[in-house]
Amino acid sequence: MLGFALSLIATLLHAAFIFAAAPLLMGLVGKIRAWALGRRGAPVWQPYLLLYKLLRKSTLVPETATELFAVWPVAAFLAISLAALLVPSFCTGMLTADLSDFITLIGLFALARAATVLGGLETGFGFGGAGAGREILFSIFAEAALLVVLLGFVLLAHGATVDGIAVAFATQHIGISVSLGFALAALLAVALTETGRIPTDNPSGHLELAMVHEAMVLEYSGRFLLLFEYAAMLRLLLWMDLIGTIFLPFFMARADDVLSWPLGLLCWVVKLGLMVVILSLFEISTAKMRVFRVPEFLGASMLLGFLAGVFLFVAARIGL
Amino acid sequence: MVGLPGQGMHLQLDALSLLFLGLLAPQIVASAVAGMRGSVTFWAFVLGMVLALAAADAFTLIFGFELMSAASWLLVLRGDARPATFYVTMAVFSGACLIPAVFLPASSVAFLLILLGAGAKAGLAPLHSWLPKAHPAPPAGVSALMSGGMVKVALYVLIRYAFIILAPAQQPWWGVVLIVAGLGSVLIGALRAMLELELKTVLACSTVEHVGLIAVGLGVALRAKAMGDPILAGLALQAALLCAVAHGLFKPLLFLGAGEVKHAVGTSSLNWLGGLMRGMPRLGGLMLLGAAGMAALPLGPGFAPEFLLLHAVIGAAATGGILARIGFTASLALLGLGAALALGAAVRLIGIGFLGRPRTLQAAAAEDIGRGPLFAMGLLAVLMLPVALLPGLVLQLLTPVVMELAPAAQTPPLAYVPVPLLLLGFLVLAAAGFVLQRWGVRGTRAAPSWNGGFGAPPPWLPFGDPLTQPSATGFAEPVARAIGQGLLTRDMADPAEEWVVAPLLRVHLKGVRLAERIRRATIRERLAFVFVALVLFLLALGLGEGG
Amino acid sequence: MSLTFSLAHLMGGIILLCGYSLLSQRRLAAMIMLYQMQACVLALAAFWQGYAQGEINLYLTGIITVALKGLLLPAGLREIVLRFNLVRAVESAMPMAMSLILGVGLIGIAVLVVLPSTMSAVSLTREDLAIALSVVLLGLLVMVTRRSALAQIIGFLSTENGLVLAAIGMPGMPFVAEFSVALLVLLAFLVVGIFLLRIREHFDTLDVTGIEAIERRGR
Repeated sequence: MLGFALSLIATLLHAAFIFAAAPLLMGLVGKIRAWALGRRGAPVWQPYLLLYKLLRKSTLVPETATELFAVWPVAAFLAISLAALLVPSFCTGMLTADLSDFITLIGLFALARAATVLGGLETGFGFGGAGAGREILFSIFAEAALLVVLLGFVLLAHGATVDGIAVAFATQHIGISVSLGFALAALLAVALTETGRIPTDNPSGHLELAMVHEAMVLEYSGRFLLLFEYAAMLRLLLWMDLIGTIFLPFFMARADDVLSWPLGLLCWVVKLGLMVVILSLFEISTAKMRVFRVPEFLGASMLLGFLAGVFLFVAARIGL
Repeated sequence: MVGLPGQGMHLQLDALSLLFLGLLAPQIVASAVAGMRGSVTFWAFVLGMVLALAAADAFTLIFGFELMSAASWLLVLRGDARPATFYVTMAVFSGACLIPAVFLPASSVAFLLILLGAGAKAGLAPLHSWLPKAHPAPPAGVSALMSGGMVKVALYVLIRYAFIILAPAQQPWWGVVLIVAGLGSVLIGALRAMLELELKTVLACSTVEHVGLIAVGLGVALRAKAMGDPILAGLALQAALLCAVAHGLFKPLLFLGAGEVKHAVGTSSLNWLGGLMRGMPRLGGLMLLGAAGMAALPLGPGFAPEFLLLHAVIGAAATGGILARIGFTASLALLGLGAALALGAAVRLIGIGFLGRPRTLQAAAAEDIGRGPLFAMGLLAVLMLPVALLPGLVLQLLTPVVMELAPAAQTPPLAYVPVPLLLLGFLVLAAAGFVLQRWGVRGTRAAPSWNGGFGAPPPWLPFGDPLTQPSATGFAEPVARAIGQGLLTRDMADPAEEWVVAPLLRVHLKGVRLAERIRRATIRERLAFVFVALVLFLLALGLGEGG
Repeated sequence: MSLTFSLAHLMGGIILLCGYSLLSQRRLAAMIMLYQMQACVLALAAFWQGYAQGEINLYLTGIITVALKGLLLPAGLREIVLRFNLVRAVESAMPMAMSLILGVGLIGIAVLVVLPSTMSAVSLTREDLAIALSVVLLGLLVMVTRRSALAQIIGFLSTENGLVLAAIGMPGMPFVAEFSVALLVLLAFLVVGIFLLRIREHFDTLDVTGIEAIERRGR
């Protein structure tokens, strides 16, 4: 009974933290990018101001849109929120642990993507169509890479839920392994594509020049745009949580052990900070790729994930 | 009594037959209500399918199968004469493989013949290129039943023989052949569904992809059963059967909708549709449900089968020799590619066809569907709800079938439960709604599209210039450049046409020429033939006696 | 002991990653950078193996590697690139996707070959050998699929790195072989450099596409 209550509180805390911290993360990334380039940059709480501004603006619906115009932002926001709730952040063993199967996560990503793409095709103008076509192209290789990388994790952890993988990696002494190194490289490539960062998409400002994410939400305004922007921030936090949970599962708290929570929270903050710094420094050191280089980039990461699986088989002492 | 002299026909229903009959029943009702009930050939088609499913002896099975083929060929011929010849060739080939196979004892040769015959009829690669040509030809009700029902009957024949009748001689490599054929179907079907322009052809290519998924599941189960792995066999069988159930619901719905689109707009080419959601909201909503199933989106009917199948392949990659493991890892990558391509095809179908602006005046003037088709599609949609929201329950209903096919199989509970996810979603929605109501600005305002500042279109183009809209070809162009150029032939045709059909046509032509040569033989040549035959017979007799 | 193996495999994995990335690069500068990184990690691996096995000779190998292949060779290659104005993209004889898939296939073959022949050895040594053989095969693939002579040389040097990786992983490799291998590389580089100079003087370009066309027609 006490364990259930503690898990419930942990789950609620997790929800509160991720919903509150997502814009802060985006702001931090922008701030560190600016510092690295020698500028002062916008304040760290700028995304909160953006969201508040969108909340207070009126919502315009284009005349050529259909009745489902409002459905797509809500669907995308819900799918990403569900995924963010399922991925553990500072503790494992929350109430949603059994639901957090990795393939369910992949499915929720696909749902969010489908909703965004259909939102882009709503008004029937060229920007949305171009963005939608490119997003579908990137998603094809990203999903294949993600599945192949997942195989490696499932084989090592003997379980397919993110929670289970985190617990297994934290308790087993896997050590540094070539397979996990390749899997990390592949997962980072997919994460960069899914969150729409350099080198696959240009996340700065609201320019639709890169014609991927911004082009699809071009026609949205007011609270619908709020939902899309918030979903993008949640997506960044969600992917950082995922990478942190799988590859840096040290000192994660247990949901039914209150005394481990402070350490878990501290480690979560440190992990996120580390990843924010690495992401910012990486973003300022490369340029955005040409569109048709991205499938090659993702295809190479899929093949790296495949290699991770192969080396796992070699190391596990299997005969022919 | 009809049937073989002295034996008659035997009918019997076991768990497998009941499942497939139950699969077929809503489709038959829907097609009949949607306008096919007056056609005698349609009912002959239905009779053939039911006979094949309820058969207890091989004669009834083959009789029903061929009746089904013949009736559907007549319906295809009436719809469009061009694919009819190709279709009947494949039907004859399929029959020619099946008929000897049912008389052979249990062996690998029998399995291969059954695989060729039933696989050709189901549209398994590399014998799949007839399906996207023949399925779009007849009226929508028949297309629905062909894609949703006839391929299921072919798969039923395959399942019954591979798992039950030929079980004493089973080998692990049988499953591997099925898996390879299935992966080919998935890749080519999903890619072509992404690139084709006609709505019905897109749906037919998606059928090829789903048949491939079912075949991969069956292959993993067959291999696991031959190697004595009960958990994997149960998991893979669950995946294959649930995929068949789900496909049998959303594919007929989509086909009926495509028929209605053609009826209302006059064309079913995606490049000439657009904005149909405004004029046909009921059809649009139903097509959206069907497309959610086709794309295997979570909280939709198609996700649970995909979930189970991916877990089955991951489980298969966790055991076995290194070559098998590498193969299963590669098949996992290919399944991921196929799933994402299917998502793209479904999104293209809804986004280009139903959203956006009308590309022709007919598309703008389309009227919503009548009561008959609405009832038919609504029935299928209502039946999709339990598969989408309570897949665990549906799997429990499927357990007797799984036990019949693999008696030692174990069926673990499903790890994907949509109802808690839905509850969580409602909670988040409630919270977000509260925030937006309390602090946000209410209501919306209509305004012209931003479109980067291009402004309103001129008055003589009421919906804007159709050329400024993304076309179906344009949407698929990045994928065509990245993948299509590698996998398809130079003019974006199916590779099976070049590598399977064209050589077979050449062989056929040579055979026809030889037959013509024999027919025109002179009297001297015919005498020579009889003489040579006599000499050979005497030689065989002499050698046989001497040895 | 497990930490020894893990670190050795980590470095081997990075060397393999560099060798694999060579296949996906189009620019000569990027290929030279990858080769330099590969050589530096190889030196680190040599140092680590020297510490783990207690062999002083491996420290020397590491120093030679870092001096010759980590600093001198890449500087020389960049000099060639600058002097002959070779800054264009490298053309390849087969599409990028195909060469990447072939690369993975080669690694799979290396794994398949190494496994049965070393069944008696410790499994972690098998991984070492598999990585080294993969690097050798990938270097050869780079040589086969690139049209520019300099890119082919970089592929050859990557193959060399793979051989050295295999050598340092095996305890008890004699020092003489190391020295000769290093000298061989240097000599090969000098010879090839002069060779390139002659080609460049003759044809004004180092792109061998034209020669391939003439050769084919000659047959």
